[in-house]
Amino acid sequence: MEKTKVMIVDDQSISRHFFELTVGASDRYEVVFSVSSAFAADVYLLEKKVDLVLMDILMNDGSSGLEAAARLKKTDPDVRIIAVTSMPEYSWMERAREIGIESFWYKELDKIPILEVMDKTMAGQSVYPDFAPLARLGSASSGDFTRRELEVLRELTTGKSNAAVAQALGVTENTVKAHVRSLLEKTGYGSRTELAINARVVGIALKPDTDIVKSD
Amino acid sequence: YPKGGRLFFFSILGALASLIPSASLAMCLDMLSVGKQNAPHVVSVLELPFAVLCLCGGFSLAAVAAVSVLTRRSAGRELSAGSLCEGLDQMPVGICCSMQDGFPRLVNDTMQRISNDAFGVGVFDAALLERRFAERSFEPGCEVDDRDGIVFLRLPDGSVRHFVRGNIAVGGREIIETIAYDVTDSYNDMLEEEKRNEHLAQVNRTIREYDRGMDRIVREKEVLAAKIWLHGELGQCLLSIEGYLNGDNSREAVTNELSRTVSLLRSNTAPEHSEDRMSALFEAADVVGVKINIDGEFPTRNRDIIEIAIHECLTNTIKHAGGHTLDVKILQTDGAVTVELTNDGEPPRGPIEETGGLKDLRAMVERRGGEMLVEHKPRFLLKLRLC
Repeated sequence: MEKTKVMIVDDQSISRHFFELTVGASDRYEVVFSVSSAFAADVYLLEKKVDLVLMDILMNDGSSGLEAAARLKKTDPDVRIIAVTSMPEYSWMERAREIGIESFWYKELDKIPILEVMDKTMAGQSVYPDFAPLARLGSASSGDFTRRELEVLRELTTGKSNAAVAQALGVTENTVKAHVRSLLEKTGYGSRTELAINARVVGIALKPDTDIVKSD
Repeated sequence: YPKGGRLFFFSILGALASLIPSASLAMCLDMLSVGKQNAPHVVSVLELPFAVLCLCGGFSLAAVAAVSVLTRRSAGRELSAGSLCEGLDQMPVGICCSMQDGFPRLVNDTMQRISNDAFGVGVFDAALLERRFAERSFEPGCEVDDRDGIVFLRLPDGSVRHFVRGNIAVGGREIIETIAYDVTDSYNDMLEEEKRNEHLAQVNRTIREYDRGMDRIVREKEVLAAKIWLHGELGQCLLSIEGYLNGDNSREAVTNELSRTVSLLRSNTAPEHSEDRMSALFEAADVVGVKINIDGEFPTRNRDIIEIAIHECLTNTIKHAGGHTLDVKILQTDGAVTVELTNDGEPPRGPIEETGGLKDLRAMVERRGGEMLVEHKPRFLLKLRLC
């Protein structure tokens, strides 16, 4: 039986090697490409047919695994993709679904082994966790925030003013101020600087998509 | 006319007007008494003037009473000059109406007080005070805040005044009207708001400065998470060895697990790949059999756009042109960067329709104030001009 051709895209050598070992140990899969950047991942598909891609989301070179996945889908709509990450950024699962990524797996945290996710994905299933892992932010848990609060928090991490955040989200400045107040109360942080920096470090509100070319 | 003067005038008029009918009435009474021969004279000749006077007085009193009533009624519908002045003096705004030469015609108490506080003198020459205002020549303890011509004056008592000057026409003459509004609360609120905004702006600057290092910290966190996981795998491996030594695990299972863990440990010591996206492009180009030639230096700014353009042209070289070489020429002159990308593949058959990657690239270039040109004859050329 022909093995499923797998491409691994992960900038961390430990994770990349772990995937290589896992896939290599299985008689159902073979690694055709193992690359450390998502930036040019779609170019490889022009050289050889790939059936399944394990795509890390956060890259050292600033490229986005989600954007690369969108480009892969344009290059080959039949390729299946599993997005992998260890960051609890809440919006990535939703963005992955929008792009059409078949499955989503949290490194080190997910209870389902990656091989099982791969098998289910190739069988046509879509495997997504019920929710992003909870992370502590001050005295609050990421599950304590509303969706809008998380959106405001993500914009805050870029150092935008309240007016700029309001414009980005299409709400009034007073609404933004109210959300910031609520976030500070819930987390117990004394300033928006402390709030923004810790949100980035913890990973629940990473920078929104930068001015990188976005696929349709 | 003063109220008292009118009353006196109408009283005299009433007295005089009543003289004739009084005298006539007295004479009639006298004639009646003469007609009755045997009846005593009601009024003697000596008593006639007295009777006339009494009647005059009565009519006068009646006239005064009538005028008094009428005056009181009309007073309820009119404002006197005195009450007008009193009202103006009570107003919190300062009011000064002066002639063109500065002679003040109407100045309320509030304005006098303001003038004393600001200039050390009352309003005796409005033109002089206006000159001092223009020269910002104020008494010690006053603070001026000029915001692009809008002037706020804080007086020694802490109040803040804003002056508005205008011309009004009164009786065919131009009068200068100056009003000093009390804007203390609004001005103080504005200063508070400015302080808050400046503080927020500083906070946002701080966050942006931290942001530059935050990406690295976040990724280091991910690496740390992986290493912690690896540490756990190592621990698991040690437990497997213990299990084998206790006879619980097979040698083969332990050997496989050891081999895997050692392999992962080795990968931990391998150097991480560089953060350079061009390296990723060169590696990918090498795999697909395309050589990328770079002529020129990458600029510091807009490097990301150039990398995206190279990526786009690399895929197009393979997909559409069937080429094996992608040439990139970068030229920097006078702060602007020009980039030209060509390949050695088949030239396009017709004008290039910009979809997908090319369309997104143009949007990005133009958003940053640059220009993009795509040519299909005599061969494919993508030209960018970036500021």
